[in-house]
Amino acid sequence: MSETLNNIEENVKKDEKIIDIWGRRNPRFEKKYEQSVMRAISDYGIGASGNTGVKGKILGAGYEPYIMAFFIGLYANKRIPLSEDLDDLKGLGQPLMYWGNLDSKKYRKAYSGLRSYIFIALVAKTDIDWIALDKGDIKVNTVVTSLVETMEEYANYGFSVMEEKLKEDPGYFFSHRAFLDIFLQLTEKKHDDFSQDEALEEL
Amino acid sequence: MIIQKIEIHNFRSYYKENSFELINGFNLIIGSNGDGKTTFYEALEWLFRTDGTNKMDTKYISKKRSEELQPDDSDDVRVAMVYEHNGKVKTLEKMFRFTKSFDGEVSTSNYSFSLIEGNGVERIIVDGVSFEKDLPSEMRKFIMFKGETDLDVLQSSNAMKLLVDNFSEVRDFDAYFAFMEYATKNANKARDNAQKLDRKNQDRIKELNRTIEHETGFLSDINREIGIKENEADNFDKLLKNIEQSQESSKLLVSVNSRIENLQKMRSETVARIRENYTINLLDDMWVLMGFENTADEYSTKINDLMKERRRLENQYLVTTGEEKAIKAIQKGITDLPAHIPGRKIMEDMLKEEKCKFCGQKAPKGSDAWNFMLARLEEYKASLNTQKADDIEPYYHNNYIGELQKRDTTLNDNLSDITTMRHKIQELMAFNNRLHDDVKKIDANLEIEYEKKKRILAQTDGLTEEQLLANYESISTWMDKKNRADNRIDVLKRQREQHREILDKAHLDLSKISEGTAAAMYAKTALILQQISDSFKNAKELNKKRLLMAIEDESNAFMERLNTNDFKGTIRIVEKANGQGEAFLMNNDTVRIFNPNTALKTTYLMSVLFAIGKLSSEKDKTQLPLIFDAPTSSFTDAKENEFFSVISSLSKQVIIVTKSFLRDGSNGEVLLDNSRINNINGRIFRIEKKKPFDDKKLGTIQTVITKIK
Repeated sequence: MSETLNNIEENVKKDEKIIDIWGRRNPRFEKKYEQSVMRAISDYGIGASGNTGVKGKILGAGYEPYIMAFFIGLYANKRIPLSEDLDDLKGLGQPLMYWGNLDSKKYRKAYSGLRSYIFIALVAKTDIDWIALDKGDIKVNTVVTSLVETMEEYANYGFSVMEEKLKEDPGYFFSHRAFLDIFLQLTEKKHDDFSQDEALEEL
Repeated sequence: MIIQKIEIHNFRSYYKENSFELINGFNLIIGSNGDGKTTFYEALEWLFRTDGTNKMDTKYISKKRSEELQPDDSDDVRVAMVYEHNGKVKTLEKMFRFTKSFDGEVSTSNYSFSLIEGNGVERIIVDGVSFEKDLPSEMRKFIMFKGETDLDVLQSSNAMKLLVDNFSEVRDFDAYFAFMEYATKNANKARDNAQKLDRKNQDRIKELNRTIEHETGFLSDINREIGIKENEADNFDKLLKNIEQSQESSKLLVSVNSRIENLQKMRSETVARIRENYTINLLDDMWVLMGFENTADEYSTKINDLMKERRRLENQYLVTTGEEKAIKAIQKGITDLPAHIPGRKIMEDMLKEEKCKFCGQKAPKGSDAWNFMLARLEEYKASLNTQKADDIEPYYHNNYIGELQKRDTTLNDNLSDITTMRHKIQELMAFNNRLHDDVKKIDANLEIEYEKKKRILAQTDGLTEEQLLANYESISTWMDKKNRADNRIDVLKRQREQHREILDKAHLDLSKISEGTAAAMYAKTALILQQISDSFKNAKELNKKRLLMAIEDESNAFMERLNTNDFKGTIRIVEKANGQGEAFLMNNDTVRIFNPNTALKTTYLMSVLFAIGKLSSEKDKTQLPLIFDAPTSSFTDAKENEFFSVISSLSKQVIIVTKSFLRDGSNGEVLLDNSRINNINGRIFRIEKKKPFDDKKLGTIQTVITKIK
C-alpha cells in the first residue's frame, strides 16, 4: 500500500505533459556569447528591476536573442554542439516555461505559444525512442535532456552567425530589418539546402 | 566691334595653336566640364587686361606643352583677337615666352602686348593699351558675363553713369556746366558793379537786392527742407518697399507656414501608420515561424508513424497476452458469467432480504437459491483477491506520444496561418514601403516649403519671423509717415514756386530798372546765362530719363521675344536715389516681383543687355559683341532651344560658351545633341578633351576644337 501511496507524485507526473517537464529546463549557451551577443542586443544581465528601456536594446529578456539564435540554426539546418567544458557554459536565468509570457516591457505582446512550436521543432529534429519512453524503458528526463540539447546546438549555431554580424557591424541588429531579412533569406528556398547555405553566406 | 577670330596658343588646356573663326552673329562653343570653356573665357579676359596686371603667370602655360619641352627649349603663350572696329581690321595680341631650364623649372620672359592695325606693309603696331579706345575697360562689364550672376550690370556703382555718358545725348554737357557756372557768376558780378553806379535807382535796387537775397535764402531753406523730406520719404519708401516685400512675405509666410503645418501633420500621420517593428514582430507576432512549414510536416510525419507503431505494438502485445490469459481461464473453469455481476452491493442486499431481485422469487436463508447467491458473493470476493494476478499488464506506462499527437492536431489546424505568414509579412513590408515612399514625397514637399520659407526670410535682410511680423504690423505707421513727408514736399514745392516767382520778378525788375544803362546789358547777359544753365540741367535729366525709357522699351521688346511662351512681366529700369540703376520685373505694372526664378531673371537681365547693346550700336554705329560663359544653366532644354533660336536671329554678335546641347550616350560618352543643334542658326564649335587622357595628369589634357557648322 505504502508503495502506491508513495507513487502518488509519480502518478501526477505520469499525467504531466512532457512539454511541461521540458519547460522547467534552462537551456544553456556558451559564455562567450554573453557579451558579444546577448548583452549587445538584449536586456540580458540588466535584471528584473533594471530600467530596460535605458540602453535602447533591440530585444528584451535574454531568451529573446536565444529564440532568434535557435530559429536561425533551425532554418539553416545547422547545429554546433556546445563546448564540452562546463565552465564555458551558462544557463539562461528563465526556464523555458516562462518564455514569451507577457513581458514587463511596454508595447510588447505575449507569445507563449511560440514555446510549443519550439518544442515541436525539437521533437521533429531529435532522434528519440518515443516508444521506449511510453513503455517506460527510458526516463522522461533523458528524453527532455536530448530535446534541450538539440535546442542548444541550433542556438549555438545561431549565436555564431549573430556574433559574426555584430563583429562586422556592432549596429547591425539595430536595423529593424536585420533579423527579418535573415529569416526571409533563410526560409526562401526551404527545400534547397545548397542555396540556403549560400543565402546565409550572403547575409 | 566685331570679333572675327580668336587665336589661343599654349594657353592652359589649349595646346599649341588653336583658333575660333567667329561670325558676326550667333557663335556657340559647346563643351562639357573641363573641356576648356572657362579657359576660353579666361583667355579673353587676360587678353583684354590693359592695366598691366597678370602679365606672365605660369598658370597660363599649357601643362602639356611645358612638360614635353626639352631643357633649354621654349615656346610662347599667345592669345590674339582679330576684330573689326569702325571699318578697320585690327589684331590685339598678348604673348610671353616660357622656357624650360635644365632642372625642369619653367620661367617666363619677353612679354608683349600690342595692337596691330592693317596688314602687310601698312601695319601699324601700337601698345596694346590702345585697345582701351576701342573697348574701354569699364565697358567690359557690359559685354563679358560669367555665369548668371554677372548679368545684373546696372547694380554696379558706375554703370548708370557709364550708360548715360556713353549712350545719351548729354555726354558732353558736363564741360558746358562748368563754363555756364563761371559765366553766370561773372555776369552777375558785372551787373552788380554797373548797378552800383546807378544813384537814381539806388534805393529800389537795394530793395530788390534784399528781396532777391531774402527769396534766395527762402528758396535755399525750402530746397533744404525738400531735400530732407524727400530723403525722409525715400527712407520710408525703402522701409515700405521692404515691408511691401514683407507684406507679400508675411502673406507668403502665412501660407507657407500653413502648408508646412499640414505637411508635418500628414507626415506624422503617415509615419504613425508605418509598422516596422520587424524584429519585435518576429517574436510577438511569431513571424519567426515563417519557415516552420517543413518542420511542422516533419513533426506530423514522425508523430503519425509513431502512433501507428505504438498501436501496432500494443495490439500485438494484447493479442499475445490475451491468448495466454484465455487458456489460463479455461484451465481454471470459471463460469461464463463475469464474477462481478450483479455486483457486491446488490448481492449483499439480496442475501439480507432473502429475495432474488432478478426473478422476484423468495430465497429464505439456507435455501438453494440463498446458498447460490452466497456462493456468488464469495466467488466475487475471491475474484477481487485474485484479480491482480490475473489482469493483463499494460504494454505502455506512459502516453507521451498521445500528447505529441494531440499537439499535431492543433498544429495542422494552425498550418494555414504559418504557410500564409510569409506572404502576409511581404504584404506588410510592401505596405510600409509605400508609406515610406509617401513620407519621402511629403519630405520633398516639406523641403520645398522650407526652402520657400528660408527664401522669404532671407529676402528681408535677416529679419526673424517675429521681427518680420512685427514690421508687417507697423506698416501703417510707416505709410503714414511717408504720406506726411510727401504732403510736406508738395506744400514746400508750391512755396518754392511762389518764392521763385518773387525771385524771378525781382531779377526781372532789377534788370528793368537799369534799362538803358550798361548795367542793364550785364544784367540781361547774367539772366540769359542763368536760364541756359538751368535748361542744360533739365535737359540732362530729361535725356537720362529718355535713355532709361528707351532701354526699358527695348528690354521689354527683347523680353517679349526671348520669353514667348512663358510669364514675362514688365521690365522697369529706374535710377535710384544714390545714382545707381536698377532693373526689375513688375507684375501688371503695379507690383514688383522680388524673387523671379533664376531663368526668368537671366532672361530679363539679358534682355536689358541686348537693349543696351542695340542702343549703343544705333548711337555710334559701333556694335559691341556679347560674350557669355554658361548663361543658361538654369534653363530647361525647351526654354534654352527657344532662347538660342531667338538670339541667333538677332543681328548681333553673341558668343556663348555652354555645356548645353550635350547628352549622355549609351556607353557613358558625351554626345552632341544634333537634333537641337540643327535648329540653331549660327556658327557652332565643339571643344573637348583630346582622347586618350589621364584623368590624374593635367599634362595629358588638351582641348581640341571642331567646327560643327
